[in-house]
Amino acid sequence: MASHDVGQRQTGEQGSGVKPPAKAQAMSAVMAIVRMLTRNMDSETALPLALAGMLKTIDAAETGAIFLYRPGRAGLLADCAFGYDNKCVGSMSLDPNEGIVGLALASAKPLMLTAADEIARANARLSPQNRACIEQAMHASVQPSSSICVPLLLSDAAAGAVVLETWGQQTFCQNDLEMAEALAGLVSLYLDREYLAGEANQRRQVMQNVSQLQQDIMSSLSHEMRTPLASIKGYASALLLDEVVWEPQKVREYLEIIVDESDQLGEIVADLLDASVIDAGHLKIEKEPTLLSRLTQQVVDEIEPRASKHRFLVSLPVHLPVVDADGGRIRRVLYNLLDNAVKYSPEGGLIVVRAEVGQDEVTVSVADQGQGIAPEHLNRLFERFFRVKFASGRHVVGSGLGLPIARNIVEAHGGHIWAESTLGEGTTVSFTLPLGECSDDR
Amino acid sequence: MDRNECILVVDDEPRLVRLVREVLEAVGYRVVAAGDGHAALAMLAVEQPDLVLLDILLPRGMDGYETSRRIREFSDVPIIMLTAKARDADKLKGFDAGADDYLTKPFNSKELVARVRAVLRRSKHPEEVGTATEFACGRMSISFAQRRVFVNGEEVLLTATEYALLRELALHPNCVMLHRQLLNAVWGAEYVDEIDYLRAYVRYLRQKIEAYPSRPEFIVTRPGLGYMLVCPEEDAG
Repeated sequence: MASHDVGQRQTGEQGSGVKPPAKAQAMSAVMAIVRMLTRNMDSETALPLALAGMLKTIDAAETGAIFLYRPGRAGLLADCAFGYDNKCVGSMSLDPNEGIVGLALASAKPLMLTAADEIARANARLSPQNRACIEQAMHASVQPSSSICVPLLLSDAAAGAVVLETWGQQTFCQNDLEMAEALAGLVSLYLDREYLAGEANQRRQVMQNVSQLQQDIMSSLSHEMRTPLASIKGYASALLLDEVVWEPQKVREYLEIIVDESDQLGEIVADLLDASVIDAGHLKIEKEPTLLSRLTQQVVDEIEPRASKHRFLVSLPVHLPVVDADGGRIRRVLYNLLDNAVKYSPEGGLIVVRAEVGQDEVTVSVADQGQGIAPEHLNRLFERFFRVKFASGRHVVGSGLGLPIARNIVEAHGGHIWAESTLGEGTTVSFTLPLGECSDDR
Repeated sequence: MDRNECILVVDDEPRLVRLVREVLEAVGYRVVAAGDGHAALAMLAVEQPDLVLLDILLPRGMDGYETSRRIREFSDVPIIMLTAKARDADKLKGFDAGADDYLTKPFNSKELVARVRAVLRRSKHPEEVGTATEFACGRMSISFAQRRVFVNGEEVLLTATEYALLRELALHPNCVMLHRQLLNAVWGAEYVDEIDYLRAYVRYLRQKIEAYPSRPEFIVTRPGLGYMLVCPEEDAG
């Protein structure tokens, strides 16, 4: 809290000298606050100035405070105060229904209390701690002789309230209330502008973060695409070197590498296209009776030739039912799962594709004997652009979209997908597909 | 060309290492490979390669820049940085770390061979025919025969490229050497437009030989033209 104390007001001020006409004085106070509004002052400077202006204009007022809601705090805290012992006011935290502030905020209207019993009733609504604070702040257990409280209303909420009080013989009159309302209105305008500027700043920050994230993703993706491209260009241009005559076997190997790296590049492009289709909400699932066993075998046959270190074991029940699914999309899920299994077990090993038929669903799982994934990364596997890093630092080329796409497809079928892993032993990714009407022939 | 020159390739992508190895072997070099910076440092001591091809993104907590800095602590072997990053800031960072040249992935194998040859060519100790073996320039002296540089009597250690640039300037004291002239003489004809290279190396040289690198007394800039090695007349003759 920023709390400002200019000490006890000089009561002599009220009666001393020749007072300017009330209208002129009011105008000068309004002008002072308008200047503050237009000069882009920060609130730590502006609010004490505004409060001082109010106290100066409204002669009777001896003490005053501005209470504001603060982000993350339940109660209202004093932002600035004049005439009180600041330490005590600063330690107050008003509940929104406490005291005269509570009454004014509840009605969202300015409130003036001049009768002792009214003031006593309002004060009775104060918590014992806050009452003790006020008594300490005034160095006495007296109550004010009159109080004005004007809620500070923003375009869509209350920001807090201004409290003005008299403690001696003087009491506020209707004119004082109107003046307080007018000046508090200007303060509300100021606060509204401050809050809007704050919100605009926050939004700008969010936009900057989003743009940074996009840049990071683009940089990561361009690296992923550059790696296969480097092989393609390197090996192709090697074949074109004038000064070297390559043996036919080498030529063939290089061409195979070029084809394989082109496939990898193609997969990244396909992933990006799929992700953009999903983003646009255009992921269409066209269900038809689908034979999972045939689909699985097709994908294994496609991946096996470029996984020379791996052995594949497909273990499906003999009577695997026909499922109601989009064959092309489920093929993509299986492909992504098997492709990951190969990529993330670079030393080779067994890759097992299994299916189990349950009451309402069939579960398909792909297990590898790779390095496994740390438990803290397991849930993040299905996040876009999340990439598992090997302890060795070895990098696996990919779009970071394979599993997120698989999840979207599986969930669009009404199934779910998850991963289990033990570090050093391997990873199993499983997904379910509901058994629909066409699966009655199981 | 010396057909037995040895090239150390430092990269963690097996297919890229294989490509570099087979292409460079096919044109007559011997190639050894390391998968990360630590292995590269160990191998450098054993194999004493004539050139290092160094990837920037390396595993095991030591990237190419750091590896290059560590190599420079004990060796002036020419280094070509090999990386996907191709912005000017990355190039300068590579030079700062002690690299001599830069090759951007994806690269053409023909360019790989050309760069390797160019860097090896300029790192070779030039034949000192027809020039004096000693050169004095105020507080600085150069022994062309021994390829050593002294300032105030203390030896200054220069990398191969730094030395080649200083030598070129010293062969023409008090003459303005045009950017393209220097690039052609030190780096080779294919580099005549790489003014960034030249600027970076002039900066490194100044840091090593000038008392106040921002107010150079030896290598002065002739804006828009090139650089000149300023020597007191009695020395330069």
